[in-house]
Amino acid sequence: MRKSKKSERKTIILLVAVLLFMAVGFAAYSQTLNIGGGTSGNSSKAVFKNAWNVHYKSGTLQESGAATVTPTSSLTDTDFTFNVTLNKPGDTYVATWKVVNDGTINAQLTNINLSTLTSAQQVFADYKLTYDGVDYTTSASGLSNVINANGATKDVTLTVTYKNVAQELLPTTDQTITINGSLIYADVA
Amino acid sequence: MKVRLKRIYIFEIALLIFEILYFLLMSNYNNPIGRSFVIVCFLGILLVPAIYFLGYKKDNSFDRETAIKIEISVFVGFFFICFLLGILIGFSKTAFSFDVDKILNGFIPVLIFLVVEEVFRYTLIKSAYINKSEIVILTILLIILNVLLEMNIGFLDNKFRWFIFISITIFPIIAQELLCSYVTYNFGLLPSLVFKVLAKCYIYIFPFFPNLNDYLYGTMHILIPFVIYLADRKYIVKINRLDRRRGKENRFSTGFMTRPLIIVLIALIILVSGIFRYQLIAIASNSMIPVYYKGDAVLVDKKNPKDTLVGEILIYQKSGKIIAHRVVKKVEYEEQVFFYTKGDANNNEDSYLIEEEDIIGKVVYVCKYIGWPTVWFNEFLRKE
Repeated sequence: MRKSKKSERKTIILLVAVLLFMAVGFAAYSQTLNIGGGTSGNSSKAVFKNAWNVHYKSGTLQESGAATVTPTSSLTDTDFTFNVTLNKPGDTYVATWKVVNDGTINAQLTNINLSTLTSAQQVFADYKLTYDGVDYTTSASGLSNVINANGATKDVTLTVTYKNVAQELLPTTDQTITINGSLIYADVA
Repeated sequence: MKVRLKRIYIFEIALLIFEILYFLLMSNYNNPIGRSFVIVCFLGILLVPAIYFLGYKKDNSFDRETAIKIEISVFVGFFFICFLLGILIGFSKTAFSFDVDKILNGFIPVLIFLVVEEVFRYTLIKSAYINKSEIVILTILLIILNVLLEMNIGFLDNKFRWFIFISITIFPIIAQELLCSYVTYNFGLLPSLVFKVLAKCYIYIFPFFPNLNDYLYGTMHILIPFVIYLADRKYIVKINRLDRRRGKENRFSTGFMTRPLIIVLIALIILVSGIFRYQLIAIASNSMIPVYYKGDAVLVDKKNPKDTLVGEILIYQKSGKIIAHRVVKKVEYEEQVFFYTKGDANNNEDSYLIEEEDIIGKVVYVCKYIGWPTVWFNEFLRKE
C-alpha cells in the first residue's frame, strides 16, 4: 500500500512538472505568435492537426536572378515576405516554392493578399505572382484553386523585374523593394 | 517461462527494428494514410506469429465493464467541459463527413490501426505474466510507434514547432499509452480499445468542436488518461483484508498538498490559456522600468480594452510581438479607437499606431519575478 501511494505521488509530481513546463512554454510561445495575419491555414489548430494543415513546404524555396534578397526571404505557413534589392535595368529575381496540404481536408484558395508598389517604385520595377502556372491578377477565381488533402502541392512563383526604362527615369541608387503577401485558404464546401 | 520471455523479446526487437527503418525511410513521407497503412501491415504481420507462439488469452476480466463505464464517464465530462468552453471561444468544423471517400480515407484507417495496435498489446501483455519490465519495454516501443506515425520531420524546422509537437503530441501519446498498458494489464483488451477509440476518433464523430488552442488541447489530452487512472484505482483496485484494517489509509490519498496544488494548477491553466477574461503575460524587456521589469508578469484584463484611458497600460500585439506600454494619446475616428503609446523608460513615443484589432487588454496587476521561466524559455526558443 505504501509502495502504491509512493508511485501515485510520483505520478502526480510528474504530471505537475509536465503541466508547468507546458504553461511556461506556451506563455513563451504566445509572446511571439503572429496573431491576426492573413492566413486561415493556421498550423496551431491543434485539435485538427490531422484535418487542416496547409503550409509552405519546408526546403522547397528556390531563388534565382541577378537581384539579391536582403535580408533573406521569409516564408511562414502561407505568408511570405521578400526584400529584393535591384541594381540595374534588366535585373530579375525569381523565387519559387511549394505550398502543401498535409491535412485531410481539401483546401480552396479564396484570395491572395499582395502588397503593392508605390507609384515611384512602379516607374522602374514590376512583379508578378504565379500560382500553379497561372498568373495572379486581382482575384483568385481564375486560378486552379483547390489543393487536395494528404500531401498535394501547388507551386508559387514570385518574379520581380527591374524594367528597362529611359535613363532619366531611373533611380540613382540601388532600390530595395519589399513584397509581402499571404495565400488565403478555406476548406472546400 | 524463460522460453516464453525469449519469444516476447523477439517480437519487441522486431518492433524496434521496424521503428528504426520506418524513421529512416518514412519520415519525409507526408501521406498520413500511407504511413498508417505501413504500420498496420507490419503489426498485422507480427500479430499472427505472436498469437501462435504466445497464445491468446480470452478477455474475461471481472472489472472490465466498470472500467469501460469509468472511461465513458470521463470522456462525457471532457466533452461537456469542452462544449461549455466552446460557447466562449467558438467552434470549428471537424473532419466529420458523410462523404464515403473521406470516411474511407480518414476514419477507417485510424480505426484499423487502433484495433490492430491494441490486440497486439493485449497479446503480448497477457503473455508476460509476472514480468513487468516486459510491459514497460512494450509500452515504450508503442509510444515511439505512435510518435513516428504523427511526426512530420519537414514541418519540425524550428524550436517553436518542436515545442508544440512535444506538448500536443508526444506528451499526450505518452499519457495515453501508459494508461492503455495499465488498463490492458488489469482489465483486458476491451477497456483499452474503448479508450483509444474515444480519444482518437471523436473528431470524426462530432461535426464541429470547440476551437481549443494548442495549450488547452495538450493539457486536456494529458489530464484525461490521468483522471481515468485515478478513477480506476479508486473504484476498482482490489482492497485486500490487510488494507481493510487500516481504515482511512485505504482510500486514495496523496496528502494535504493535493487539493491546493490542483487549485493552483487550474488557475495557471486558465490564466495561461487566455480564453477567459484575465490572462497572465510575462514581460520580456525593461521598457517600462520602474513600473515593471523584465521577468515580471502582468495580469491583463481583456474586457472592453478600447475603454483604456490615457495613462493606463495597454497590452497589444505588433509585428509578431506582444507589447505592454502606457497610453499617451487616444484618438476616436469614425467609430474606431486608436492609441499612441510609449514605454516609461523609452525616450520617445512608439512610432506606430495601435488599432482596435491589435489590442489584447489592459494591465491591472503586476506579479514580480514569476515571468522569468517564460522569458528564459522564449530566449531559448528564439536562439539560432
